[in-house]
Amino acid sequence: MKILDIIRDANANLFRNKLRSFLTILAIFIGSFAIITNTAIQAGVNRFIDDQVDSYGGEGYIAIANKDTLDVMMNSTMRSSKEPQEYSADQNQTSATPITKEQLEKLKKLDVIKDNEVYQTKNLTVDYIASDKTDKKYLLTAEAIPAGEIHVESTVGVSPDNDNLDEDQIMITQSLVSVLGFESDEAAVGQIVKLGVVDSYTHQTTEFEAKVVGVIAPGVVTLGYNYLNNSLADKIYDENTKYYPAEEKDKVYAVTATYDYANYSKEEVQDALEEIGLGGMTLDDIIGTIKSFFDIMTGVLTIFGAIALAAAAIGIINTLFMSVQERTREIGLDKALGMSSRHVFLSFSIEAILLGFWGSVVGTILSMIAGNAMNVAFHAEGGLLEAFPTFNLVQYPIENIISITIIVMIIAFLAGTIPARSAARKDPIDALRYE
Amino acid sequence: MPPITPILYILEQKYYNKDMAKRTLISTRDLKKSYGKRDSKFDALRGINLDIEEGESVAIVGKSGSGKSTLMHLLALLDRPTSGEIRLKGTNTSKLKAKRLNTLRNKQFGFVFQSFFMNSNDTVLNNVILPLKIAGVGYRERRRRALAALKTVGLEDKARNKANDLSGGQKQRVCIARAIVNNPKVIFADEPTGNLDSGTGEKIQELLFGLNEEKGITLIIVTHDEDLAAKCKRQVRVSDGLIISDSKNAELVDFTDDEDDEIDDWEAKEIRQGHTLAEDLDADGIREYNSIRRIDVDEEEGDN
Repeated sequence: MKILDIIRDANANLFRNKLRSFLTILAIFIGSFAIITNTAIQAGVNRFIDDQVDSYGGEGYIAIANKDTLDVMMNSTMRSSKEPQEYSADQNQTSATPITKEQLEKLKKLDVIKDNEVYQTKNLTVDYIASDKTDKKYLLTAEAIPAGEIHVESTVGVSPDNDNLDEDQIMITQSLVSVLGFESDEAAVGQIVKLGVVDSYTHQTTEFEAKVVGVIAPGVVTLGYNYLNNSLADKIYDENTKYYPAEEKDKVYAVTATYDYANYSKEEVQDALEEIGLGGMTLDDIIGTIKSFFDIMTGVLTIFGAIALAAAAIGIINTLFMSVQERTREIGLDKALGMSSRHVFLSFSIEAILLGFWGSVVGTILSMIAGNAMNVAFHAEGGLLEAFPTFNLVQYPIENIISITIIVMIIAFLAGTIPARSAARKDPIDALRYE
Repeated sequence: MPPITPILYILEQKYYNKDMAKRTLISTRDLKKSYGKRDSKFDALRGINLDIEEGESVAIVGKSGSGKSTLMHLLALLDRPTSGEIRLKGTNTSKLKAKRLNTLRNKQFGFVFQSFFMNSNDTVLNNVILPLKIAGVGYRERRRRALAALKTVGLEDKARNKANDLSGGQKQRVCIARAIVNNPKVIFADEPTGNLDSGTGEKIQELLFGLNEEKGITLIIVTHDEDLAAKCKRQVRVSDGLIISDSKNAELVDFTDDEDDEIDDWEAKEIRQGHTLAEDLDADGIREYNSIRRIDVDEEEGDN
């Protein structure tokens, strides 16, 4: 018997008992839908993060500081990736323990640090940002634009220029544009904003004026930081530290470096830093906090999908056993007329594979419809990913769809072997006597 | 010098035997079949010795439970005996592999059953096509041959009907069409007229004996109907798993060794080269058949 005839007959048999086949396909569909959606989310997250890291050019980037300082950095990360919060007078942003001179010396000598170079980051405390277009003030997380192999992607304008000492420049996040009263990203560039620093003793506010030179493209890696050029950063740092004794001013709270990612793993770097009492935060760590949210979501979906597929496999076994029972006489006739046991086995196996195939196809199509709806909903106003217009949470690479379909078909085939074997073993005489 | 007559006699015997062996199609020797084990053991056949020649029409007659159906199943290679041997063209079939047996049944045998055994939801044409589909014949060729077979039984206009919508007599004719579509050398019929009224039964008998006489297809019919049995040239009566009488009184052929190439030659031989059986049987209808086929092809193209 020709294989094409077997496939055609198996498909025709599926349609012979439409309701039963439909229900079985439905069970497979639920499982494959969950798993396809799950991988689509993972694909979306991974692709987005890869794009971000690529655009940042920051492979090997590591921020090094004392552990408690890192905690503060992490916290501001979590906050700044949400919506801008309105500033109230009793909120101050804390600072933390500095890196000692000895630590810094040891750090520079570590093998894991590329070229033995570290860049000092001045930990700035800016309390708010305001513009003359609105009365409201907003909390601000600001940092000097990092030195090294980093560039920040902008929607309009450029990065602040560290070499320009005459002009105080700021690059603001896109989420601030509208709340500060600017009509568009383009309109914001060239405008003057005010950065407020509150004196910790006198509670008097000093305001610094800064020219907006660019708007930062929304993304995960920039983490809601607003970048200042060195000229402005130095002024704010001086204000932050004006009561500090001279030696305190020289204190370093955090440095950035590029670690030797070709020869050392992240863990080895962390261990080396730990030995001198420091901690490091790589891009992966920063991204990890965002990823963990999706990991929980996709984890739940995977478990759900696996359970649904296991149940569907039992459904396939059940469906095909009923089919074997119903078609006992037909199988007997086929075998009497010379069909081999192998072909009988094959025809039921193919029926199982087709059930898996159709379930997977329906699952893929509906998952794509749902996924596109999710992408639209997340990007709508108030949506989870409103701030990240380039982040399509759900993505369907063709290789994922094909491999999942094949896996589902293999599961269906394995489930189908049990009833298919019982069909293949039927004795034509018994089967022909069967009423 | 020994007397010449006994030597001639032995030679004559030997050649006679050889000639008989050549013409013998199926032989059984001490064929036994039992079902169940120990206490519940039931001996359906208790030692059957039978030679069937090519081109014969044989009725295996017996009451229900006599073992006649079991015998037919064994002769048709649908089942394996508990002991004893079945030779097909001199070859001991117990030595043949399952795949070879499948091919033999598919290509050389035709089956007609009392209760039809059709896929009732499928079309008449697809039911007739089944053996060809199993044989792996291409779509157009098997369609052509199935339509020709349907023409032989006079049901070409029902090709597209559902098998379920036919009367009993029509169903049995479809089964005969299915049995002859592969151009077989042997037709096994199990109570072919059992479910039919006498008038319809006559027509089925005419069809079957026509195939036997005109084409030389060996006909093996299992029945308890004496009228049908009487129409066969030979009647073998079975009771309690043994042959109690055989209208043909012939000595059993003595098989000395397996003649494997004979079964190969037999398999390869076409009943009449170049034509399908159905076309041969209805030579007048060939032109008509061709016109049907053309219409059919047109319809097919219209479907697409």
